[in-house]
Amino acid sequence: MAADRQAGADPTSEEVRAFWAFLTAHYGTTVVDKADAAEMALVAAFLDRLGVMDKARFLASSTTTLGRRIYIPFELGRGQDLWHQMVLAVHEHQHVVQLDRDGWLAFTGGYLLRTATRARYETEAYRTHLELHFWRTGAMLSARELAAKLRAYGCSAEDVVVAEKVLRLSEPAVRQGAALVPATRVALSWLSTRAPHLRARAAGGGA
Amino acid sequence: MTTTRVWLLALLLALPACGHDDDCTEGATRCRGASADICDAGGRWAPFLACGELASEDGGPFVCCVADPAAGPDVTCLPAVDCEANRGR
Repeated sequence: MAADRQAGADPTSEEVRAFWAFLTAHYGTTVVDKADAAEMALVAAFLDRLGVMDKARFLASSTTTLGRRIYIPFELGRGQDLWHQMVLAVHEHQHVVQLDRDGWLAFTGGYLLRTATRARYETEAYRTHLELHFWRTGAMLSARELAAKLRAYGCSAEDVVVAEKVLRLSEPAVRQGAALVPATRVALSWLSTRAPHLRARAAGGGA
Repeated sequence: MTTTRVWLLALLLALPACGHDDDCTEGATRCRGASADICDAGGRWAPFLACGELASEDGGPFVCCVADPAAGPDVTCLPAVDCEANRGR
C-alpha cells in the first residue's frame, strides 16, 4: 500500500510548535524543558529504584508526563525528526487522557506498581504511533518493534507479547481509517485541516 | 506521618486488584459487549478496544467479533459488515 503513495512533506518547525500549542491548549497541559527541571532528577532516581526505567536513559531521551506537565528532552521544532516530535506530543497527551479517565490514584498506582497495567497504558499510547504513521504513509508500523519498546519501561517479556498482540489486533481497524485512541482523534482533527500536506498522497493524486 | 504513609502504601498496593473480575489465560481475548478484552500478563481481563467508539472512514459502525476465523479465536473490532461476513465463513 505504501508503494502506491507519494511521501508526505516533512513538517516545518512552525508546524511542530503550532501542533504542540494546539494539543497543550486542548488538554490544558504545560511543556517543560526537562534539563531545567530539578524535580526530574528525583523522579529519575525513583523510577530507577522501582525498576521502571534506567536513570540515564530517563533523563537523556525520555519524554515524561507528570499530571499535566510534559517534560521534553529536546527543543520543540529543532532536530532531525520533526514528525517524531509531533508523534510524541500525541503519545504524551494520551497519558493525560488516561489520567483523566482512570483518576490519579488508579493511573499512577497501576503504572508504578504493576507491569501489566503499565504495559496496557504504554501500549495504548504507542498505538498513537501506529495510527499516525498509517495516516501519514498508508503503511503499518511493525507491531513487534513497537511492542519491544516496552522493555525500556521495565515491562516483562510476557507484557511485551501481550502488547504485540494488542497492536496486531488493532491493525484491521486502523486500516479502515478508525482512530482508536482519543488523543489521535484530537490530533487528526488538527492535522487534517492545518497540515494535510504531511499526509502521503495516493499516486493517482487523491488523498 | 508514618501512619499516613502506611495507609497510602496499602492503598496503592490494593489498587491493582480493583476492577478485576476473574482470572484468565495470558493473551486470551474475548468480546464483552462492545468491548474487545485481552487477558494481560498478570492474568486479568482488560479492555483493549472500545468498538462502539469507532467508525470507519465511510462512517460505518464497528462491532467486536472474531478477527479471522481461519487464524484462530482472537477477537477485535471490525466493521459490522465484515463481522457478518466472518460469521458466514
